[in-house]
Amino acid sequence: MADVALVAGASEATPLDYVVPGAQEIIPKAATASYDGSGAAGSFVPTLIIRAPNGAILAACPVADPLAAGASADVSWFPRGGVAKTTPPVTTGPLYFAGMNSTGGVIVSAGDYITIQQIPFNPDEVYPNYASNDGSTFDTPGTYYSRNPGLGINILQPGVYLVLGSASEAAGPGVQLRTSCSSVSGGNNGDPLLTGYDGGLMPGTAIAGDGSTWFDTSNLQAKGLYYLDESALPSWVGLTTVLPIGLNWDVGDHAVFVVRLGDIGIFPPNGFD
Amino acid sequence: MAQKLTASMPIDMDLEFNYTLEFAALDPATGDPVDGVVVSDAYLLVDQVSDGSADDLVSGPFMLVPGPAA
Repeated sequence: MADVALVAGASEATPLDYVVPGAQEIIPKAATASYDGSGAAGSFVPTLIIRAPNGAILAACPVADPLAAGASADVSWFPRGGVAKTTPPVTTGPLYFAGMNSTGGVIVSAGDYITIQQIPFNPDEVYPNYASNDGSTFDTPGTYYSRNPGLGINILQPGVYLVLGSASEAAGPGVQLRTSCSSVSGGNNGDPLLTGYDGGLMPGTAIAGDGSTWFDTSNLQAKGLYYLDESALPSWVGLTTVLPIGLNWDVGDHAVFVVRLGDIGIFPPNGFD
Repeated sequence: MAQKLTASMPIDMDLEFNYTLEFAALDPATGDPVDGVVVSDAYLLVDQVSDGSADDLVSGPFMLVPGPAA
């Protein structure tokens, strides 16, 4: 057998055919072509088609992804050719969230000891402002934890949850704002993957974030990441303050926001290692 | 600049008289031909299984690529 190279001399509108001439027999080994889609009527897939004499398609060999109208490509076909298509990330559905805020100030009093207190959301209201896009994942405060009404957002489904919180009024030196989770603070179930706070007082400084967000003494931020399995439910997440001895804090407007990132399988239960 | 793409094609497929290799542009949704696409520099490398000279494989717009002896 002899290798023979054939080329079409001119540009041709698709489809461009090579018909095996009479009394000949070939085995194709490779093919290339430049596709110009600048005049294409729509997106298209460069495809090498092998047809039987009756027009039946024996093989259709498309590239992995379509080209947009106007795009051009140099395409090569060869046995075992082709670039593996990038696998899209696995998604587990929409992100479910819930948020709650309270516009009234709440005086959190410190006594003679360092005080760790839940920050209530509805001291003067039946319910604080609350919103969620999924009632089967989150619930309004107080439904399950009547002993702590309004202290947090109830979580009804297992998963990994990111919790963000803020309080607007100026705090004193050493004051901390933290996210909290009932199943964690209770010492069982639930596992905080990450907890933290942007906290205490940052006296005399204003730190620019992305140009639109400023952190200063009057806007404490907190965040936490929680792993909640079935045994941890129902649970609630909210805000906690840590007050040094002798300090009070009127937290002012405060808010907590929680988003379900995915199933508990997306992280190991005890962290990332 | 044109994208560089590759695709797979069958191996060891004998094609005889009136079989066709077709460079096509297909609609990704319907599989129908898309108008307005132009192909240039279409190139085929084949094994000539049958007897005869390479000239016997010239067909349609396809001509032999001139080799060193051309």
